[in-house]
Amino acid sequence: MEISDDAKARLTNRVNRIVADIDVYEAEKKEITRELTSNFYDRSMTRAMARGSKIIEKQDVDAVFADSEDPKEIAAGYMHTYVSSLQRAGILSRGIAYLIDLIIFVLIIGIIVFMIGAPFYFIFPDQFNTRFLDGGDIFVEPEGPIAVLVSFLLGTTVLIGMLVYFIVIEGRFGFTPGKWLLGLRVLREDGTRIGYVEAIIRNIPKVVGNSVFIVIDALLMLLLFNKEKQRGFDKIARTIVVHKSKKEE
Amino acid sequence: MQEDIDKWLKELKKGSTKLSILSLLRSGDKYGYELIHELEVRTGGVIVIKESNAYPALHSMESDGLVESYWKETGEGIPPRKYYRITTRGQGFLEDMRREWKRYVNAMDGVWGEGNGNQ
Repeated sequence: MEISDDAKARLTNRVNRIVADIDVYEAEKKEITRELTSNFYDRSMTRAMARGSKIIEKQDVDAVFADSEDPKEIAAGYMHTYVSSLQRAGILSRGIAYLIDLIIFVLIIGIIVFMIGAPFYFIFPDQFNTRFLDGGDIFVEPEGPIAVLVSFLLGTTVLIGMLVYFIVIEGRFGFTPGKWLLGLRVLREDGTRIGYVEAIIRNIPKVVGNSVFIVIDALLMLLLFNKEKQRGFDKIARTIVVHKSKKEE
Repeated sequence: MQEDIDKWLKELKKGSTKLSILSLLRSGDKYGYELIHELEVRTGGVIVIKESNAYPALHSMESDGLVESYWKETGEGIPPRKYYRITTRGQGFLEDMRREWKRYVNAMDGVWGEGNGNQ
């Protein structure tokens, strides 16, 4: 049996799409990739043989896919099975990930705020009230209308930056840069990838007010949900955080 | 109504996936698609398991020690296949499951009165 190039490309692409949504250890991912590839080859071969052909063509592969489940559904099937075998992440690894996120965020947003704010400060120095404090710190206060507008712009930038960093990125990928560095993934309780809705709900204590809320929520996890390792807002969003390459002992 | 039945049947099939797979493996080692296909043919299309159910079930059965797997070249110009073999533990589990299944079916007969001729 042979396979045409476009049929092979479609098949490989489909398997990759499925595996992309499966958050497990790499060795297991490779095994799943091989097994699913073999599965779709077998199905396509049956179609080609039914046509009396010795070559698997694009039409065979397409017919198999039309008959098969959605890639996300197959990935979910695997994750339902794997989720209980993945180790839940505790307060330590999650706390470190959060600190890393804060450092990265403050650095990036600091640069952006400076780049937007500094030109106004130097072009319209009269609009700002600059005070030199005893400790050597410089305190800049908006005074004129342009400066007030600039402050508002900068405040909005910080807020949008926070929403993008902690909610959009996590909702899209299932991890923030800090979590990625520590090998953590946010999943739904059933093991599937989270979406934006879950990302919004579980991150409310991070983006609202100051850091008091997230600390309270983390304490809630230690006191009430230590076994499941879920913060209060994880409970509401029905999400969990796991080590993507550590098996439960 | 049909939707409710479909939902219930899905759960029922999910619950019997392991039993079906282990039963098929008694007659020899088989690869994933072979299991799916054979089950469909043997049951006249009544029990159809999908990829999202079959492969994860095989993986969890393997980590539970009920089946073992090995890769084998096909010689048909397509990639190697992963074959599954039932273990001694799997055979024991299958016997237990079959016994419980029969017990359950008998019990249900009792529930709707067929056993007592009350039809």
